[in-house]
Amino acid sequence: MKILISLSLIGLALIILAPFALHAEDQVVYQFKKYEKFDLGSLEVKGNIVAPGDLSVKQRERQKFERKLLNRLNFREEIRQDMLNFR
Amino acid sequence: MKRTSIKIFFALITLLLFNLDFAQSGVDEAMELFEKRVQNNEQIAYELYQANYFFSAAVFAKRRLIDPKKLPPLFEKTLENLLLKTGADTFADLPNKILTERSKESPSVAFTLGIRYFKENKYSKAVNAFLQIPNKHRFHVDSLEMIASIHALNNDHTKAHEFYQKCQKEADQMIKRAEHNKLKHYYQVIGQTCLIHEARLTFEKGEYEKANELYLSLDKRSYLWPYTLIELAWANYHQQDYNRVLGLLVTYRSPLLESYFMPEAEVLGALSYFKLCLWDDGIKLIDNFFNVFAPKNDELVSVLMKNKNSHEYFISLIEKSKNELERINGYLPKVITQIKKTVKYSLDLSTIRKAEQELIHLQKIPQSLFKLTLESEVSENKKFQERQLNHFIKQKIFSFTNQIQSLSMEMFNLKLEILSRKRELIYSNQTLVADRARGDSSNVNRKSTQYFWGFNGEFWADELGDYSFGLKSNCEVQSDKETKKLTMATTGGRE
Repeated sequence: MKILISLSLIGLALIILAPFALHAEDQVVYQFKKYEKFDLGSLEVKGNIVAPGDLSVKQRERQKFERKLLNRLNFREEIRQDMLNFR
Repeated sequence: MKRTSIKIFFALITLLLFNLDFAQSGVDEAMELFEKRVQNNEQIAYELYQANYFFSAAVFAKRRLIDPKKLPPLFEKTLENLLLKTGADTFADLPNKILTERSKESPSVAFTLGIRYFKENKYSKAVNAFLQIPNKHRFHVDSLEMIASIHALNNDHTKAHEFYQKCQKEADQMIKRAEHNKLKHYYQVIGQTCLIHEARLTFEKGEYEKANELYLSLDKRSYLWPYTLIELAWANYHQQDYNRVLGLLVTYRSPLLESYFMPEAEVLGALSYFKLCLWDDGIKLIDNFFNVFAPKNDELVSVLMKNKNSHEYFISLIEKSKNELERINGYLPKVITQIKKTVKYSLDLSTIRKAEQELIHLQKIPQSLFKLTLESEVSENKKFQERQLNHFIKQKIFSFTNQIQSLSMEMFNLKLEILSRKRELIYSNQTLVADRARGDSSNVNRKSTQYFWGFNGEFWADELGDYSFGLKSNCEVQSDKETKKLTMATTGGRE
């Protein structure tokens, strides 16, 4: 009976400790390539042409700001001031 | 000892001469009449007037005007002289009712009433008052100028022209009749003002060529002439003669016209460069405006704002020397010099000085109700004139600073417009025909009556106002080796 109890305790301990043992094995270090060379000239894209081959951008109509610049059309204020300071 | 006795001798002579102006006997008689307590304001006014106590005489003249009895011709003549000696505002504190009633029999009162109505913007009433002044009266030319200006402000151009021309003709006749140089000069100024107003009116109608002729007919020796240069420049601007505009504006840089600083001339100059597509030259003027004029102006505003409610500060500026004014702000000497050249300033200042002298002489009168009355009334009148002059100077300086502030906005807009034009060229892969187009005499527009002389860096007095630049318009663009004219409809660059 004692043997049976001690065996079941050992079994229980093994079940509890098993995930920790697995985790230690899974630790992986990822590293990115520090240098990679692309030969753009030798790259080939296979497919069918469905649009114009050149790069084209449609020109957007630019907004024109018509600013009102100073334009003298009369000297009324000068006439009024002359008369107010007449004497 | 000898030097002291000479000083005393000169002091006595000065005192004697000073006293000659103010006759004591007239004052004694006036005081006697006053103490009799008989309603004899007219007689007291005559006595004081003859003794050269003009402000004191005006006190009793006003009392006489309130008295409903008919005014004799001699009184009208006295009133006319009092108005000239003491200023148009002396009688302005009388009630409207009295002035309206009296205006029917006194042209001098009609003139005072007309000015009051004009200041209150009651133009039709003002015209009616001025129309009561008969031909050949001393104030008739003045009234013609006022009536013409009222018609101009009311958009009645035909009548305005008619009255401005009448004003010029009558001013010429008055100059011939005037006995004193001062009076001659006064009528000259009125005639010239009428001519300038007529030119302004012609400008407003869009008749720029005719306006040009009128401006050019003004005598260059007139103190009003430098102010018209900018107006003449605008007339040329509307005729698209931008080289002439720049030439007229450069006149302000001559040493003779140093005190005439016109902020608007800077904007008009930049606009003319813009129209000639000389954008970099325009930008240079704009940057100079923002880097030099605007900060100086802000500095001046901060000084003025501290004293804006003062009744003495602005009048005190006129007594400061050029260096003292320069220390306050770089603009002040120029603005004050311009103010000192106005007719209103000269008349008001001379009125204040006369009132000061009269107050000194009034102190010599023995203590009495008569003396107290005169001292209090004359001193009140003097204070009123001082406040008015202070206000006039303040208004002139503030209008100068406000002008710079509002023109800053115009300059900013113009800079944006130039940058926008430059951007358009870059995006359309085009360039102007030259980076900095210069020109020659072939670009100068001149009439058959005008000579041509080169400019060698010297300003000659007789040439002032006749300058023209010879810049070639740069409103031409180049793209892909073919040159085409840039039709800048809005820029209107001269081709």
